Amino acid sequence: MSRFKGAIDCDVHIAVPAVQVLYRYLSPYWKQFMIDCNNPSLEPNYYPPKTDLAARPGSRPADGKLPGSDFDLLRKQVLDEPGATGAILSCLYGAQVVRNDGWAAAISGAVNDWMADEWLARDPRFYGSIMVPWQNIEMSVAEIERCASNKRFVQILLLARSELPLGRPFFWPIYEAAQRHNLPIMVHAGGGMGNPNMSVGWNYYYAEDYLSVPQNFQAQLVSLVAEGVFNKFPSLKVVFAESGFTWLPALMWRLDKNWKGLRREVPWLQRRPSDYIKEHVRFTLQPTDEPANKRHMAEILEQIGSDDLLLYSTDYPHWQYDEEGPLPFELPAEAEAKILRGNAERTFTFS
Amino acid sequence: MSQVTLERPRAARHGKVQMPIVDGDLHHYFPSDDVILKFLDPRWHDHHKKYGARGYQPTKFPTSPYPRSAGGGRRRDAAPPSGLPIGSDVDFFIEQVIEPLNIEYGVLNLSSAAGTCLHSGYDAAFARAANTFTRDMWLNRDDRFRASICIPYEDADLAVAEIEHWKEDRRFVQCYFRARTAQPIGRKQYWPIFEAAERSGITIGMHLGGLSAFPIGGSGWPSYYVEDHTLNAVNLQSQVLSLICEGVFDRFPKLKFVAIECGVSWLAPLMWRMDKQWKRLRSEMPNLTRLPSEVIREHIRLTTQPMEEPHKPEQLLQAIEHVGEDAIMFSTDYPHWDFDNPERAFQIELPAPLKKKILHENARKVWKLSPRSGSRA
Repeated sequence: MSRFKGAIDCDVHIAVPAVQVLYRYLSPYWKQFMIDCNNPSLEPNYYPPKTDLAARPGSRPADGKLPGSDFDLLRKQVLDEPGATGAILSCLYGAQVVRNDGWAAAISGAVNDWMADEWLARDPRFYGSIMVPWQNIEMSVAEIERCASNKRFVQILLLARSELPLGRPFFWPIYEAAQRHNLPIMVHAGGGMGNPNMSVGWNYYYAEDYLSVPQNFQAQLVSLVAEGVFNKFPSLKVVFAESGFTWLPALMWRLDKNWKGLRREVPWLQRRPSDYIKEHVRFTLQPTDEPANKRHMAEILEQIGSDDLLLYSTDYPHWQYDEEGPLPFELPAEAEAKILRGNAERTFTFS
Repeated sequence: MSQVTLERPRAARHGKVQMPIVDGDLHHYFPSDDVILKFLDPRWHDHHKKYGARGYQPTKFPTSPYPRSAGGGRRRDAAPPSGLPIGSDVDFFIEQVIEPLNIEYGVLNLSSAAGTCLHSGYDAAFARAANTFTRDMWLNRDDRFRASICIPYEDADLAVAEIEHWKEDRRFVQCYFRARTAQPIGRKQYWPIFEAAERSGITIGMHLGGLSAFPIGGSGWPSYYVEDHTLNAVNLQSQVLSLICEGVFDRFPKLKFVAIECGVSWLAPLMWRMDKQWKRLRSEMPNLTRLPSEVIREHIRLTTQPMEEPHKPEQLLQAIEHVGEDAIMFSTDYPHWDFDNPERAFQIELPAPLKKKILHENARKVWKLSPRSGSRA
């Protein structure tokens, strides 16, 4: 896999092997709370563990533990074998989708501390994401302040299915803290704060749930731009992870067109919406959702109109690709180097 | 107000369109409440006056919660000299859009609350009034008009009855849903309607809007109309997804579904995502044996307005190819504010065979419309 030597993998998932590993990071109150509640796992159901999508072949640890929970196996498959020089880890443990905000804060803090000790400290090529209890914005800002001094955390983690659209001023204190600490916001697929997954209600099939993910992201992108987040926070970067990106031209065209006719509602926008998107938003590569027709894919990349937007990722351990590999299209060398590494270096601060 | 100066796009001025046009989306209106009462079953008059069309939204202005400027979203210059409300004067309608644009057939979709009233008995009565009005005052006035049947789609029995009522009148070519349904459109509660439509040989038309039950993106309600309008494409993505995953077209193989006024180019990336992961997802749906894109290409059609405006004109041809040139049918959306004039809607001159498909050939197939004598093919 020499093509990926030196690449930075911007979306890799670690899993909490068992909730008890977090207990030493909890206060006595929360530890007892967890024990009294019979040690509930907060492993989410975004990828039901036995489905094909959840784990590519070979990524399930032999001892039956969760994919992404075995340090040695993950490091081998994500870094050593492909020759990647960096991987940005996020943990999707469901502290961000419970209702008790104090509990969310306790578990988020524990996950962040566990990630720092058991992953980031053990290999300098691993970078981390700060999980924040976004149910409560003050607690989220406090968690950012608590973790930001550890420079191995390179981004803040939010989820795509939020209770309010992410552009809403409700979230702005998080963006203010993110901008101040020069940390991008990663909006990762997942979440679920009570709104139906789709615009017309709840999906019947898991397939609809998975396939409707880009729809959430499209709504979030429109919200971030329309609410003026990038006007208010001019150096903020947002990374959409596992969103797909082949839908982006259609959305940019539509939003630009509507802005022309409707911009009295959003007078803070001084440029086309797509200009804000190209400046502030990045997209991890997997899943690529590419067409079978290679020319169509090349046309989509041209329609996106910028080499700066894509960030190489494998989305390990989720099974998003087969023999076509994680970068299933040809690019000129310069554009490819940007996707594999250069765009990540300009988006995150690696130390 | 922002001080941004926008460049006028290099929209090609192609001059008057020489070929006949089938317009897949025109909006006529009731001229007044009195006219509604004339057509509404008297048993419902008192209900209409006291309760009216109650939907999900707590405010009652039309298009709640996102108000439209310019007279409910209608073009100011479409105001008829007669003084009737925009879109309600049939003579002016013919004079302003049907005649000048060489419209061979235009499909009328009544702008009203039909289909979205929580009280389905009233909704059914209103639909009957709407359809009778459409037949008497529009279809009978000019044979170029065709129409969608307004149906109370959240109550399948009542909706089927309405479809059955009109099945002898072949000028009703479609039954009419709004895009924000109470459940995903592929769900079983809607299947009797699909069966009736298939039996009648009419299409399912799904038009943006409908007073909504759920927020549009899985994450709460957007603040602004510019968001809501942009996300109509997301709305239809959910609906197409539901139709495919629920196997609607395997169950009703002759059925065609027309997405109206929701844009075009969003369909291609949805097909790609579905196809790419189908091998890993399909174990949940063992009855579905074909690739999603195959099913979509066979059964889903899109009207063009509001036409895509890519950043480079030649990208429009790419977008059409990605979706498939057989899927696309021209529409003006007259008299709404974002009306598309066929002389200016396409940023680039379309090759003649493609133009023919989009301007009338695809629509003639879907709605079984014969070329009119005197029409140039």
